[in-house]
Amino acid sequence: MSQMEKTLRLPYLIDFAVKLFFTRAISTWFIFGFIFWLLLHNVFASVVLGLVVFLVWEMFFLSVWYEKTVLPQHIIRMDDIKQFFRKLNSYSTPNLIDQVEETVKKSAWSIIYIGYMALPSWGWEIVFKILYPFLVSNKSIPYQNLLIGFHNKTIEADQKLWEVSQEKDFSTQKKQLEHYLEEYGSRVDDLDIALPTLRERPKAIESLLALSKLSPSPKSRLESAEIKRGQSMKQVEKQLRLPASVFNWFVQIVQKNVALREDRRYYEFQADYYLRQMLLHLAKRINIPEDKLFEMSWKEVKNAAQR
Amino acid sequence: MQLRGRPASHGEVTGTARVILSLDDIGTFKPGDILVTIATSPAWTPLMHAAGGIVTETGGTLSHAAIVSREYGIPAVVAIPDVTKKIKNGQVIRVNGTQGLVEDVIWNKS
Repeated sequence: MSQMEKTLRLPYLIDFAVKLFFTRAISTWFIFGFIFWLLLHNVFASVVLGLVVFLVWEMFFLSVWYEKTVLPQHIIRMDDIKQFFRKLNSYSTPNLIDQVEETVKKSAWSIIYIGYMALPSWGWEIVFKILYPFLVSNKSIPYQNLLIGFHNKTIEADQKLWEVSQEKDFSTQKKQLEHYLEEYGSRVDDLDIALPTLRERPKAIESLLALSKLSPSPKSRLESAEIKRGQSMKQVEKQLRLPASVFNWFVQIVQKNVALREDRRYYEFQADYYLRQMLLHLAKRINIPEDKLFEMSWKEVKNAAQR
Repeated sequence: MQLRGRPASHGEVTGTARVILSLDDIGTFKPGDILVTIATSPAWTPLMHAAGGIVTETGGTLSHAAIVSREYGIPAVVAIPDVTKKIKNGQVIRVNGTQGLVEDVIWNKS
């Protein structure tokens, strides 16, 4: 992890993780634990049962909170970041520093709150994976076959790139590519502000575009996956050890959470491109070389700006 | 040579291995080649979509590589330690994503 990530975003990530843990996790866990304590008068059993019920509660209701509260707030925050980014040149250096910190705060909020969705999205698949052999008498159909073929942001982004690659007119293709990068270019290899986003890697984009041109469309692969899922579902329904309606209800919850998991990766690091560009802009203003910037701490950068 | 990992996405494919450690080094990659790497991330999905098969050093059955490869119907094996060193660029390999096996095709024929 770079020095810049450690000193700029990591403190906010820890701060939001602690806040989320206490406001959402601990409080709900405590309420359930307290109810069990009133019923059982056993502290250990109350803590354990409270945790189990809390996890089940989160797995059922977290996606609703994510869709109705977290995602709309993230979109508002991203609009703010983009609005500031458009006026980057008009800000004084102290204002730019404030805005970098504000952007980092917004980025950290999104990473933690959207990242929390990992709990139900991984949890449901793990539960399904464990229970599947007990629910179906013949295991020849892998459980994964029932979870494929749903639209998600990954497929959407790859389909857009494929469409750009198929464009024959160079100037139209250039415009489409700019639009693609604006929408989907903030994808990163890892959690580190020092790592360039896809949008900042022209050589990689050029190669990916050439590869997409020769590949089948992601949409066609999605359709094939959808057919495969339908066929698998029909076969599985003949081998169920429980009523089909119950199994279908269960599968639909798992499927929804699997799709949300893929979308989550798209939103989490959406601010990284803008944040990096703000930092690079600031470094240029105060004569810090690009290759040194991310090796410095945020405090060192702020001190250099004040000199 | 036979390498065992975790089955990540069902199916079997034979193709030319391309060891890719960075997205900036994918110039030689052709559609249908086998992507051999340490791990994948969301920025890699257009490359994964073009791959005939995927082999990674790290990850589990719920890793990014496993989830994307099953979605695209690409055979994949994950968690083979040092696979990017054991497999050479241009080597023809068979990826069995159902059993979690990666084999050197030339070696098996001889």
